[in-house]
Amino acid sequence: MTDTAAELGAERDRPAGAPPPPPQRAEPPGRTPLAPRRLPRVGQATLALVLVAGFVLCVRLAEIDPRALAEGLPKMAGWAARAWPPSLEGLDLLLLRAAETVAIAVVGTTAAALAALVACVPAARNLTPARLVRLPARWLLNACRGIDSFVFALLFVAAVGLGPFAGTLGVALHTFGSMGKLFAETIEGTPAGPLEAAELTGASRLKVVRWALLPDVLPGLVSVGLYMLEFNIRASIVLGVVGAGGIGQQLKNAIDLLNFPRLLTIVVIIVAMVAAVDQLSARLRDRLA
Amino acid sequence: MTPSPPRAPVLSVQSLGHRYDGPPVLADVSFDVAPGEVVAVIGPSGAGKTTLFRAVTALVRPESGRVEVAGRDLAGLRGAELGQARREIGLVFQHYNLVRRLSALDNVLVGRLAHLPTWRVLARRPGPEEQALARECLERVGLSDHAGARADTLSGGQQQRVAIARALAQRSRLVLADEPVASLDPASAASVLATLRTVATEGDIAVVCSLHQVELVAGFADRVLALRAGRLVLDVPVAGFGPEHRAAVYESDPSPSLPAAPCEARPGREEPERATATPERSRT
Repeated sequence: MTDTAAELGAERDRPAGAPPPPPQRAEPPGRTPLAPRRLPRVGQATLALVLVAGFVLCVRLAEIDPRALAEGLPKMAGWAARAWPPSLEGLDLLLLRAAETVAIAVVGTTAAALAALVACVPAARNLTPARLVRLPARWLLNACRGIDSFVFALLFVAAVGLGPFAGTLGVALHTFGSMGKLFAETIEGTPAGPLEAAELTGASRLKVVRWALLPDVLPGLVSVGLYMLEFNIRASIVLGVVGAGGIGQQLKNAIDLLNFPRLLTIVVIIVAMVAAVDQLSARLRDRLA
Repeated sequence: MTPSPPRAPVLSVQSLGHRYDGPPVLADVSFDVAPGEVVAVIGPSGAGKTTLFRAVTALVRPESGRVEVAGRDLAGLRGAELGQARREIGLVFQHYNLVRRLSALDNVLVGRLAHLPTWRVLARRPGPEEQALARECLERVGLSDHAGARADTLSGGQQQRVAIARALAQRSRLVLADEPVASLDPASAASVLATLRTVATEGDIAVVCSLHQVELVAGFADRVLALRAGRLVLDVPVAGFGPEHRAAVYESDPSPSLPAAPCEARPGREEPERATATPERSRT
C-alpha cells in the first residue's frame, strides 16, 4: 500500500494534462516481474571465467607479494618489542592534538549537517519530484561525497595554510555530500500515506513538511549525524599526515623518527578516543530508536 | 436519514467517466449526496470504487463528467485553489495514514493545518482554540483519554478513529472513506463504522464510504450504491437492499470458462503493470 500511496503522490504532483511520468519500476511488459532472469548455462560459465580472470588481474595489479610480508613481519615484531614501555614525554601536547582532532570532526560535521539539511530537500524524491532540480542536487552531493576529506584537506592546506582549519573545511565538504545523500534517503524512506493525507487537507507543502514529515524523520537525521561524527573522528586522525591538524601529524612524526614508545602512546590515545566517541554515539542513537 | 426539505447536495457526481489504458474504469456514473447522508459504495475489486474516490478529490482528472463539492466544480482548479477546495473534503484511508511519531492530538491537528497561520505551524504552537477543537474531535470519536499517546502505540481501530477525528477537525460537510475497515478485525471494524455513523448524524456530515464487506452495510448506511465494471448498477435506500441485489452485484461474470476473468477484474487498477505482480484478491 505504501507503494500505491507513492504512486498517488506522483500522480498528484503531476499537473493534469502533462504526459505521464516514466515508469519508476521499469519492468518490460510481457515478463512477470517475479521471475528472475536466468542466464543460459554457457553464459554462466563465461561469466564465472570472466570474474575469476578479473580477480587474478586485480591481485597482480595490487602487487600481492607474500614474501615481502614474511620479511616485513619480524621487523614489525621488533618495533612492537621496542615500543614498550610507552613514552609519556610530551603527553600534554599529544592530548592537545587529540582534542584538535575531535574539534575538527565536531565542527566539520556540524557545518556539514546544517548545509545538508538544506540540500537534502531538493535531493529527496518525495519532496522534489522535478528531475530538473533533483538530479543536479544529487550530482552536487555525489561529487562532494566522491572526493575524500583527505583530498579536500590537501587542497585546503594549499589554500588556507597548514593547520586544523584546513582539515575542518575538508571534513565539512566531504561530509556535506555523504550526509545530504543519507538525509535525502532517510526522508524518502518515510511512508507516503501520512504526508499525502496531510496534503489533501489543503495544507501548503511547507506546513506538511514541518508538521507531518519533520517529526517523523528527525530521529533518523540525528542518527545519521551521529554516525557521521563517529566516522569523521576516524577520518580526522589521518588528516594530520597532510598537515591539516590533529594527532595524525604526531603519528607521522613518530613513525618517521622511529620513535616507537611515542607511537604506542599515540595509538593508545587514538583507540581510547575512537572507542569513547563510538560508545557515546551508539548510546545516543539507541535512545533515538 | 429522514429527508426533510431538500437541501443542496454536498457532493454531486454527474456522468463521470474515466479510463486509464483500456476499457473504461468509470462510465456514466451519476449520483448526489445530501448533507448528513451516509452512503455506502460497494462492488467487487476493480469495479472503479477507488477511481471514483480519486476523481472526487481531483487526484484523478476524469475524462468526462463533473464532480461538484459543495457546489464547486473541482475540474479546473490548480494549486492553492485546489487546496482551498480540498479543505471541504475530509478523507479517511484504509491504512489510517497517521504520522507515527506524533501524538493522537497532533495527528488530529493535521486536519487544521490548512487553517492555521504558517508561523503557528512552524513553531508547532497551534494555540488554545485549535487545541480545544482538536480535543473535542477526539472526544467525539471516544478517544479523549488517548490524546497524548503516540499514534503508533494505538490499535488499528483506535488509529482509524483518530483519522476520523482528523477529518472532523477540517470541519468539512463531506467525509470520504475509502475502505476504512478493510484492515481491521470485525470488532474494530464495527466500532469504526459506528463512530463514522455517529459523527455523521451528530455533525450533519455526509459520509461516502466504500466497503467490501456487504454485511456491514445494514447497520451503517442510509443508502447503498453499487459499482460494477465502472457502472453504477444500484442506488437504493438501505432498507431496499436485499440478497437479490447482492447477488446481482457480486455474481461472477458470464464467462464461466475463465474463472479468473483477468480483464474483468482489472479495469479498476491504476497501474496495469502492478496488477500482474499483485493478485487482485489480496486487496479484497
